[in-house]
This record gives sequence, structure tokens and C-alpha cells, in this order.
Amino acid sequence: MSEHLIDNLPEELLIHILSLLEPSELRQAGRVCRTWRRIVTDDSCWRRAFARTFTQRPFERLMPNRMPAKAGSSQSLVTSGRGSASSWQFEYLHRQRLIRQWQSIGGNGQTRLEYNVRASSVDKVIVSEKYGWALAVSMAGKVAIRSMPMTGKVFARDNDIQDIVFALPHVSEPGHWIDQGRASSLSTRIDRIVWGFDDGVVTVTHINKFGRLQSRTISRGSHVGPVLGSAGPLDQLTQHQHEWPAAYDIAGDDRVVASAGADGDVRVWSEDTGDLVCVLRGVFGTPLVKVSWAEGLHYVVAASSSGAVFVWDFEEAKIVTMETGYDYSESVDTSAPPGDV
Amino acid sequence: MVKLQSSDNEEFEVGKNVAVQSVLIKNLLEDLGESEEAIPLPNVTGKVLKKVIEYCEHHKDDPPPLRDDYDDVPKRSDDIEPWDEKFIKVDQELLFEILLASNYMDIKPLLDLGCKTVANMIRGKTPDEIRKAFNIVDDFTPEEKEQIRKENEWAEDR
Repeated sequence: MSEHLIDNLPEELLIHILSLLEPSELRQAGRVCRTWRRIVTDDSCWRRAFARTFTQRPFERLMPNRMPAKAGSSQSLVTSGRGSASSWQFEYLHRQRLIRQWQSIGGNGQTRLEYNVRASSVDKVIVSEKYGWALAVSMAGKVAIRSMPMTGKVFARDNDIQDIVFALPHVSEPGHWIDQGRASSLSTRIDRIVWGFDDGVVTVTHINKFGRLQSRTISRGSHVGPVLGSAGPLDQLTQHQHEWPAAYDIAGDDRVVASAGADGDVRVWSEDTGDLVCVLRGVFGTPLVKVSWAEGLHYVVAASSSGAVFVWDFEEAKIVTMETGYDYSESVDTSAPPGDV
Repeated sequence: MVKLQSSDNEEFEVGKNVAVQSVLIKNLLEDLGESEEAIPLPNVTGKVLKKVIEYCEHHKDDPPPLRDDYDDVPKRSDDIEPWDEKFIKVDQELLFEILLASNYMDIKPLLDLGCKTVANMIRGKTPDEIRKAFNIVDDFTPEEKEQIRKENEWAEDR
């Protein structure tokens, strides 16, 4: 090649081209020559890269009034250009770092959300790193709100109420729902939210892989009094169990959820039909605050507010073990996540 | 029909729906009205114009491109249609000429296609490989090279 073809392009075209690169590639491009370096260190290039990586501009800047360079000699090169008070490069790098932190702790609830979804107090956060969404779940608001994990923007398309789901499916029209009482318990996993309510009703919200939501209330045979804990859903394909217990009328591909109530019972529901599968009676009507599955479907474990732990054989629907004398906080600790006891 | 004349005086006759994909020509036609006279394109050679027209012919029934919104998210560069990919498989010289022509004639989809193609040629390469691919001279001073080295160390340990 005799000519320096790319050097003949007007700079605006070169900017257009380079801003199509991913940030790691931008860094490489910044080491090619002085012109390219000037372009990729300009903040407008990072702004575009930001928009492409996070699909939109942020709800709010996490790093206002900050400049990227650490100190000393590198500063002049890194921040050359506008000299604005805040930098997209820094914003970008900061959020990339947050993602790495997020990934390293697995979004396990210790993550501190740095954005505002306006969902009243947020009790749980569910994050799908793979599909890039976060759900902020609020008991007080009885809502789950889907948003971009890194920009905090609520995915809002016109009239798309799937992105903000009220726990209650009794919505006659958007914005109007029958109040079912206060949410009294909440359990989550990547594809489900199980809500318990003051009036003994359980609602399951399905989350698809794109973070879209759909709720269904399973209310036939509800608890007397508030639901204080829930577990599940447990589907058939666990490593411990290959068939549903014959004693119960559950279809092969059904899933079940369990709820623990202030009435002292654990109720097991078919998530698909909404029917009550069985009632596991506690002792003395002591309110149950936690419930969990153990060894697939073999056992159901529940903890009471008085510090007792009950273990039922699910198929026989009877208590096989009862331990008392735990204090409340300890009993909470013994309730492992669903399926992990 | 609209007549277009290249810098080397080659004339092309194209349908109006083909020609108006160039915002430059569209505006010219609106301002001056249609005429028998060929529209001169002094920045575009016949070889390049032929290629540009081929693109516009193929895309004449496409919906008009979205407005270039400030908040608009640029598309990723790995979503090139098969026809476009084949179309833009040309030597670097012609590729850059098509880029310049689409910029001058204001044909956004073709400009995007060209830019994506160049970006894809850059991606995954080391700075050295990029310089080789595009015949770019490394014009950093030793001091700047040292700064870049330090900076990368800073970036790595983040």
C-alpha cells in the first residue's frame, strides 16, 4: 500500500469509526498513533462507548466531578480534551468495575445498589448478569421493578406494564388494584418471586430470562393470618427426586411452592394449577416464620417464632423431627436456601 | 429518472427513489426541481459512484433511517446483513473512497456500513497490527510511549 489511506479520512469519520469499538479495543486504538490517541481520549468517544455498552445513558451519574487519572504524569494524556468537570471515561470505568464486583460476589444480596429505582424500600435485588437486568423487589410497595443494572434506568417502553409488576394480579386496569393487605414475606430466586400476604394469600411472580414478569395468586385454601415465610418453587428435576410423591395429585411438570404461616401450618401449593397440594400441620399453632425444602422433596423444614424447628416427611405429611430451644436468630440461620439444606 | 455525473464525467441514470437515498441529492432535487441536466458530483469518481448506486438500488425499498437522535444507541458492528457484507468486501482503497463518497453524498446507512467494516478491521488487533493493517506511522515520542506504558499498568490493576 503506497498511500496512508486512513489518514486521509476526515476526523469526524475516524471518530465515528473508533467510537464503534469496545472500550478494551479503544484502549488498544489509543496506542496506535497521536491522532488516534487524541480521538479516543476525547470524552465524546467514551460517551458513545458507554451508550453502546449499557444501551442507554445513565439514570444518574455515579461519578460526577471526578476525573479519571490517578495522579501525576499520566493525567495530561488521559484527560486531554474538554477538561470537563466529569468524565464519561471515568463513569464508564467505574461502572465496569462495579460489574466486576457484582460478578465476584454473585449479586447475593450484599450488593449495595447505587441507583434509584423509586420502588420505596427495596428488600431484595435479583440480578441477571447474563441478560443484563436487575429487579428491585419491594415488600412495602408490593412491586418488582425491572431496570438496567448499571444505569439504573427502568426499562420503560410505552404502556409496557410488564416492567413494573405489582405483586397482586388483581389488576382490573393499570393503576387500579384491589388491596390485598400488606406483604408479609418474600422469597426470591432468579426466576421466581414468592410473596406472602397478611391475609394468608400467596402470590408467585414468574421472571423470564429477560426479566419480564408475570404474577399469579394461589389463594385457594389460604392460611389463616399472615404468611411469614415461603420456599420454592421446587420443580421435579432436582437431583434427589425424580417423581412427585404418589400421595399427591401433582402433574409431572408441575412445580410446587411452600408457605409458612402465622397459623402454624406449612402449605404446599401447585404453582401451575394454584391448588393446595397439602397442609403440613405444626404443633400448638406456633407461628412458622421460615420454610425450606430438604433433599429435594423428601422433607420440609420450618422454623417457628418460638425457636422450634420442625421437619416433615413430605410424602407422609407428618412431623419426623422437632427440635426446640433455638433462639430466633439461630433458627433463621438454619433455614438454608431452597434445596440446599 | 435522475442523471448523475461523476468527477471523471461518467453519467449514470437512476430512478428517483434510488437517487434520493442520498440526502445531498434529495435536497438538491427539492431546491432546484427536477431537470434534464445531470447532477455533477465532483468528489466522486465513476468507479465509486457505480458502487454507491449499486448499494442504493439494492436498498431503495428500505424504510428511511431513523433520525440521528442524541440519545440514539449506535448499533453494534456485528449486525451486518449478508448482502451488505458481500457488497463491502472490497480493497481498502475502494472501501475508504466509498466511505468518503457516502459521507459527501450523505447516505447514512452506507456510511454506517463502511464505518462498521473499518471498525471490524481494527477490532481484536494489537496497536502494532493496526498500524500494519492501515499503514499508519507510529509518531509517539519516547516520553509519550513511557506514559502509555504507565497508563496501561494503571488500567490493568484496576
